[in-house]
Amino acid sequence: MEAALSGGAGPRRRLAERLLDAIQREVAIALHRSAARQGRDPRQEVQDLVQEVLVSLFEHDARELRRWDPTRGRSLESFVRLVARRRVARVLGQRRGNPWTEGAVELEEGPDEDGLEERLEHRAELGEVLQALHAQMSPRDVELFELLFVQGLEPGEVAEQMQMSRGAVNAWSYRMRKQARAAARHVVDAAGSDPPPAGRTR
Amino acid sequence: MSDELLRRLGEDLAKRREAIDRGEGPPELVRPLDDEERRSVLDGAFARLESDAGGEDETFEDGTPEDEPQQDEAPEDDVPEPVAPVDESHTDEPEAGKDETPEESTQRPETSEKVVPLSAGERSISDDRPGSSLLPILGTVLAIAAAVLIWLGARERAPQTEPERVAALPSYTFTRVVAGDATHRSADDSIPEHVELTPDGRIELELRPAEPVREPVGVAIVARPAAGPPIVTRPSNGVEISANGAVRVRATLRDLVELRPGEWTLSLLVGAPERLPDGPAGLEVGPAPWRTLELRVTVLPPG
Repeated sequence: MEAALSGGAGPRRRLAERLLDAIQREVAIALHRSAARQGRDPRQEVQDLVQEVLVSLFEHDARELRRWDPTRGRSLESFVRLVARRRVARVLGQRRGNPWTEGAVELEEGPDEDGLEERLEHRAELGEVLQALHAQMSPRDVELFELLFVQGLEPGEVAEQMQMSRGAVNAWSYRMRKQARAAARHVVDAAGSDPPPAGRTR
Repeated sequence: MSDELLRRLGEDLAKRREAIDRGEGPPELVRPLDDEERRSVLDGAFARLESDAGGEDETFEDGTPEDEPQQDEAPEDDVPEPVAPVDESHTDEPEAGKDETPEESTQRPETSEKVVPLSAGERSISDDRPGSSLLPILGTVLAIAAAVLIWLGARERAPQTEPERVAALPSYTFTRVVAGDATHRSADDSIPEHVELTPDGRIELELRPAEPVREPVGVAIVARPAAGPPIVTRPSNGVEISANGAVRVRATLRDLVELRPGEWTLSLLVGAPERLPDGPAGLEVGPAPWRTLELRVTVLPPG
């Protein structure tokens, strides 16, 4: 990668082209079920977002791309997908006027709503919550979320892999849990007040 | 409060990812980019990068700061801490630099790495020069003289009338226009007066002042049809203002203003935010307290 980045426009472009497919897959995941794409030409939307991610990777002399460290075990494509996930979430959030992308999050402790998860799942809005959450995440947040909740690793394993203490992983989980619930409330409130699924009492 | 919601979010993401990686999902999303699309994406990205590199002195306040490492690596304990009690296993998150990943440790804000404070015991080279003891006195005299000049200048200028306020704003020019797939830059001397695009077509405009503008500026858009009343909008998304008053607009046409197919004249008004119009009535002022740049747009039917 260093050779490509120091080799001028041609090698940089070839490197960018190599990353297109990985970026497109993340864009497709984000756009699938995303309310933000409604009314737009999906093909153009894919291209716009892929371009947006490419620019974020290569701008400022590829500062973001240079963060990739192969010694940490993640492939370049996998690293780029992490970057793409955050970037696309932020772009889509900004487009929807989503206050969650502005950085100022009110972590107000509301009542512990029974069935929040079911209400979200019932309305296929988990993707919206995840998008709101990703828009808030730092690179480390994305990586921790991936290891803990997507790959399902034990906190001890994650702590070791991320060179963190077990307590720090727990504290991160606690903070992320609150952010997720606040994001979920935001999505549910924004979608209206449909009743919870049948058979569920509150 | 358990991790149930996070677990479900993780499962949902894993399922969607597996499906997309298998090529399942809406074809318009998962079909790989064809050669022409790939070329278009790469051309657009590198044109933007080239343009941004040409204007490196301009740092836009909005739009991209979310990806600045300075924010990403802010200490975790910047996050407001909960009022709710935390059990023993929930220790505080690490301080900056502690338990951070190698990636993060190499991404400390550049500013903090580059600032080299002079300690009280250090002396500058000028301290050793003959007559250096006069420097503080000379500096004081110059500072007083500068303050008097500034005061005299301010007294002559204030209060400003509306035309004076406009005159105080330097002229603006388009330095970059992207409409759909076509890119035009002032360096190429090819800024067009007329562009064509669909409502969902991407439009990128850069407007730079003749000299830096230090006062806050905003942007309003006035779209005038061949016949009929104008449409006035104050776009909230897709507009970035640099510290020097340069303006960058990056959005789809629809995000800026909803226009039906046909011929339109798009005026970009740059001025003090509180003086820009919010509607057609706001255009009915005397000397306009803003700068105006115009672009003729043919809005093509969607698709």
